[in-house]
Amino acid sequence: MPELVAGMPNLERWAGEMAARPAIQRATKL
Amino acid sequence: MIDLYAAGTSNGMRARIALEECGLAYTFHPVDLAKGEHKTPQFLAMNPFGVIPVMIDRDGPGGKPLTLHQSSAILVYAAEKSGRFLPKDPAARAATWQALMSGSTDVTPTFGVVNGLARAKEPHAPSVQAFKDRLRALFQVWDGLLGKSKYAAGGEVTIADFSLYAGYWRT
Repeated sequence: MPELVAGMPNLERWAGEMAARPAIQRATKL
Repeated sequence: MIDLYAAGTSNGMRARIALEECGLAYTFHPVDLAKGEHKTPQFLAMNPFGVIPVMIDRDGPGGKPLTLHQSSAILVYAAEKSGRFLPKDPAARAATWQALMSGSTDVTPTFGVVNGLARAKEPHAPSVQAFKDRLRALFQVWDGLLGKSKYAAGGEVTIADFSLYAGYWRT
């Protein structure tokens, strides 16, 4: 549901940083 | 050694992110929710609520096994066990609790309601839209907060970020 977070640059910046963390990448790889 | 029973939900990922980020060795046991594996007698013996995640630390406090079945409790436990991602300063720690709770008790349940309503056989469109609006409003607040601080609870990564990201991740 990307429309729920559209137009939120600060949230997007933070989420991008979180998604790039190796531990989070390992955790969310199912 | 830690055993984690979870699936690819926000709550499941909150627990798994906690263990990965805190560098705690664990074995991941995927739980197939579609097959009802979280409702079997064996699973209910671990968690009578019949939901994921469940974490069992065979080497818990005092060397005794410890079972936890709330994702935020697992998050806090992992941070305390590892000594990571939890500020020592009381004010920063309080800010961490506050942000963590928003991720765990505001964002994630609202997403859960949206997801549940949208997947209903006959979705009630006004209800779906109302909870979508509520979720977007929560994210808008977070967008503003993250414009003032780099991370969810200030200038450093804390377990609050992991809680919030678990709620954001599936959106």
